[in-house]
Amino acid sequence: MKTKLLPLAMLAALPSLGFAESGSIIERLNRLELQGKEDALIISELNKKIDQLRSSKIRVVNVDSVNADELQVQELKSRIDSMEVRNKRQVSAIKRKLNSNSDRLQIKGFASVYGTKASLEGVTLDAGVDNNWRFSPDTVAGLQFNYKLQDDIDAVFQITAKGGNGFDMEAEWAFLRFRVNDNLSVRGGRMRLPWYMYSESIEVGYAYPWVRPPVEVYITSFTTYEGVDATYQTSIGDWNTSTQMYYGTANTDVASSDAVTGLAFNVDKDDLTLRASYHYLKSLSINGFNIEDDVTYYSLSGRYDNGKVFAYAEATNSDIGKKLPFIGNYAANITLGYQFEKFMPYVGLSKAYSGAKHEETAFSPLQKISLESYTLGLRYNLSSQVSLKAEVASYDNFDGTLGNSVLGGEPSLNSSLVQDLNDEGVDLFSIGFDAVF
Amino acid sequence: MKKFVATIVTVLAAFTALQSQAGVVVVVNSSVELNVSKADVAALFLGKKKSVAGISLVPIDQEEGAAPRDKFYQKVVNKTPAQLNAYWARIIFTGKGQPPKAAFDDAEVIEMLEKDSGMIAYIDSASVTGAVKVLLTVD
Repeated sequence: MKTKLLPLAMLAALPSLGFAESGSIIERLNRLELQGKEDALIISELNKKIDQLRSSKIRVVNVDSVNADELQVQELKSRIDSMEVRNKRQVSAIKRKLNSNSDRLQIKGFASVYGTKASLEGVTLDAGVDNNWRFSPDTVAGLQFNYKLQDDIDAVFQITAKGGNGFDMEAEWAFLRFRVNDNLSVRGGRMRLPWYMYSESIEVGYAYPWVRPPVEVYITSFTTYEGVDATYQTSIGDWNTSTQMYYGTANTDVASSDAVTGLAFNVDKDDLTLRASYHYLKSLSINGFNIEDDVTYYSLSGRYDNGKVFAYAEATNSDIGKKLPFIGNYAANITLGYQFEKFMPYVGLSKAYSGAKHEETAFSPLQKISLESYTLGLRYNLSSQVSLKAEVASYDNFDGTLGNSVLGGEPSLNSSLVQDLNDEGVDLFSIGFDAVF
Repeated sequence: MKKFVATIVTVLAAFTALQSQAGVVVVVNSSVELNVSKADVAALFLGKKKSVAGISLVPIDQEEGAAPRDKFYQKVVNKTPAQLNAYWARIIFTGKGQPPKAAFDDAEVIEMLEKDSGMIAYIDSASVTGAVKVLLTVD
């Protein structure tokens, strides 16, 4: 799926999908235009006739003749009216026809462009963040095609290009969905794993307040899987619920699992959303580590957003930290924001550590994880499609560990760097914008 | 004094604007027998629900800038434009759904409802005709 040919093939196939009927619409528009010209001629002639009748009326004394003229004027007027109504209806019908075509195929896109810099010299974090302003780590663009094959079946295909990944095009979503009924839909293909609240939309910066969702929470072994899922939506009183179950396999250059399966449960009412999820990875193996083990993840999260106050909290727990080095297994974030007109300042607090840190394991202290972070940021909604953000995230309290592996990047065993990290912590500065289109 | 007059003028202008702003009504085809709550309508327009009381309903939105749109989302769905945009960004790009189809104006909404009893929409209360049934009124 990583091949660059597939997206291109999809693009090549597009013209034949959505626009097959546009020819007939152009014909109809042409006919309507001709008809409009004819109508305009007729209307101007009719108006002339009306004027003539009206002006002649002044000179004519015969009352019967005046009445007859008035009748004729009325008749001409109603002819003009009915012509106008007919034309309006035809225009409206054509608009709707155009609409129904664009309904079949929807193309939408998103992009984020950020400059990011780390405060500490010599450190390299996820996606190549270092001591220089770099524009690739947090920059991403995506294009999504939705094609409705029939009322209850649609196909979704999304390609993204991430700066942190050399802008290689990847299909993050490529699935067929069947809507069984008003409550149940099933999908098959490649999909994003519904790890946490924002995992499925992690690249769509416009959808959340931060420059990136809290890395301590959102670091996972995989982002996508190939398989099937079923989502059941129903309401209990005023609460909307959504239950999503999935099963498949996951495979990347760095990790693989024979089977990934799990469940995500979501309830919301008015401004409040609550979520719980469970995930199970069968014989997870990560390159470079001679380990193959089953791993479980749990998460609990909530979001309150009434348009003014934004509050989010998420906590995750996994047994992966006991089985693999350099990975934390407890992580949590709480973020609060307040919307002042178009500005939203927000503040976040994260904590992550590996339980193994406090237990007897084969890992050295360096291979364990501990860190805390504070995030302070400002979001500005420039328009309904663009938001600007500036953010400082400060990572600290590494507690003698290599916390920077939570921040991604290669775990470095350079002891002076570890010393610096533990003494000073590391700050990440980011500024840029998100767009949806 | 000037400031005072300016304030009065602004307040009066705002007041007149409020006065002239008609209510928004949630409507369906006149043949539909149904009771809905605000929460039902909000869930339908956010794609969280596809039916109410066993009746499948397709929401019909109005284009951005259409007169009753802002009031509908503010009073019925309880979402600011910013919230709504972030919400649909999340839904669209996770492949979970698409925002409702949008009509050009109240007249087109009524025309669509007349032909299809499986739709639900909102219009300005002044635009109501015999072809539609009002389910909810918001002032």
